[in-house]
Amino acid sequence: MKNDHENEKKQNLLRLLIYLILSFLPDIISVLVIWLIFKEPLFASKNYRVTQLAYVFGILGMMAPSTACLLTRLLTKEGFGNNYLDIRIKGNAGYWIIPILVKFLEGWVYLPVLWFLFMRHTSLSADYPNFNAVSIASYLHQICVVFLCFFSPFGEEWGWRGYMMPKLLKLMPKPAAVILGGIIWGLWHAPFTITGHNFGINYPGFPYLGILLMCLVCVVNNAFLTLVTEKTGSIFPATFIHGINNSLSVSILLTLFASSSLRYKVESAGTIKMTLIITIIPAITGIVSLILFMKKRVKCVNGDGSV
Amino acid sequence: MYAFLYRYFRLNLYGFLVAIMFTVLTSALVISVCAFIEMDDGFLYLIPAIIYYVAFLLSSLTTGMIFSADENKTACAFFLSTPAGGKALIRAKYLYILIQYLMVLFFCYCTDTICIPITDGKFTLLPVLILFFCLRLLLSAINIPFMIRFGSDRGTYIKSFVVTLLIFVVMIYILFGDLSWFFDSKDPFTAFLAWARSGKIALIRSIFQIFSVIAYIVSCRISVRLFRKGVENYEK
Repeated sequence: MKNDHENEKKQNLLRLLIYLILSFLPDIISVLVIWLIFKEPLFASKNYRVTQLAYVFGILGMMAPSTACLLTRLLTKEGFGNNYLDIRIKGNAGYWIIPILVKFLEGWVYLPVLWFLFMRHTSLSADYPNFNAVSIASYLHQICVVFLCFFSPFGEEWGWRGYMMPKLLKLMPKPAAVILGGIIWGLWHAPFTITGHNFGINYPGFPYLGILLMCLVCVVNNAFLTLVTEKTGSIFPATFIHGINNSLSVSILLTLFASSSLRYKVESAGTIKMTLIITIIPAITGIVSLILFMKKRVKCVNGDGSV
Repeated sequence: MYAFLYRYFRLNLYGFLVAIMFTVLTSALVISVCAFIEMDDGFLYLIPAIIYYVAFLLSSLTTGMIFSADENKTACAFFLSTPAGGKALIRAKYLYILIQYLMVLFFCYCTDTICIPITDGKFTLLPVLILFFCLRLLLSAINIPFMIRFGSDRGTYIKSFVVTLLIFVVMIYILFGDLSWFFDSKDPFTAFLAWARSGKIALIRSIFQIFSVIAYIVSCRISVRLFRKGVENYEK
């Protein structure tokens, strides 16, 4: 029995290593090739063509973890049990709906917070003058894009929360798995961070501070997303939450609703400082999620629907 | 429900494959259009838009088998007797159709993404893709309960009637509505795009998209209720 457990552990570790190689390599190679061809960082280039490539890369590159998950399952003959593709909401409706609402709320809460930090000498309504039909229509349209064109976030979530995290949870205690999973996820972003994604290239400590900050952001988000995935047995809520984080975050809300002066103040504060500010509430959510996840009494749903 | 879903994929395998292959073909066609034609004139956007719509249209035409295969009283009595029951059967139909539409949307979405660097950032039809997807979803939401209740043949007549009614409404608007923004402009297509992006229309469009998704979910619930009555209409 002990031997079976040891063998299963070794098998999980091997599968995890194969998955990590398959998910890291394509993006590292692609970023290197693009850099060698254009001689410019992919996400901080002034070259118009490279900027467009960066957009395409951002969309398609996010599908690497899911492709790695699929290939690993096929190569190691693991099969597709515990695939976390369940869409049954009954019995888990709270864990489907509430986290999505929490993520929406995180963005909206920052609007008055940023006004208070940067522009409190003016009125709130003066700094958010753009609550008109066009902006609201754009926001609603963006919600549709997030929930209908969920392919890129799905591409990440099926790999990280649908494959990597269950493997890590079998290999180590929950807190260690969540933190390590977040760090791995952050390091996967390292090739993009080095080429200017999220933080640009003009900040002190480039690129190490950017990579460190990305790991921190990923750890806090990983705690939240892992909780939601394990409670629902599905990666779809995490997919939508990831989509909201990417496409309906405070930066999009500022673009749609904020005045140009507030946007200028926020941009002038610098990417590192702003990232630290807008990570505070997700960090609180992440800590609460980790505490909830570690509670023994609360049930978890497996990827095949069993409890 | 997943067992029924698997059954529909097996039953309609050729239809599904035809839909996917056709979508891949349309994607290749759109990429070719973008690569070889300068997308300077707004009017040229119509070509890929029509190609995308045909992909969604064909996808909806290949799902007939999942309804006609179940129009049998004996089979339906068996499905109702299973632990999952008629609810799972109907939900599997809706899920199958949604998956097929999502596959088409996925390929079109990837095509649209690839076309951006090809056209130097001039071309993107993502809002149009979402609109087409939601339009097909709404038409299916209206059509499917009638097919469940009255059978696929009668349901198709009702769908044709609904589409005719929509065309009639559009024609009434064209005949009697305010089209000054169109006729007074030098570039009608650009004027149309500007009208579509204007505040009121953009808001209506966005609300329509959300409404179509909600309509699809509500339609599923209605179909579940209509299923038992519909079985009475099926031949033995």
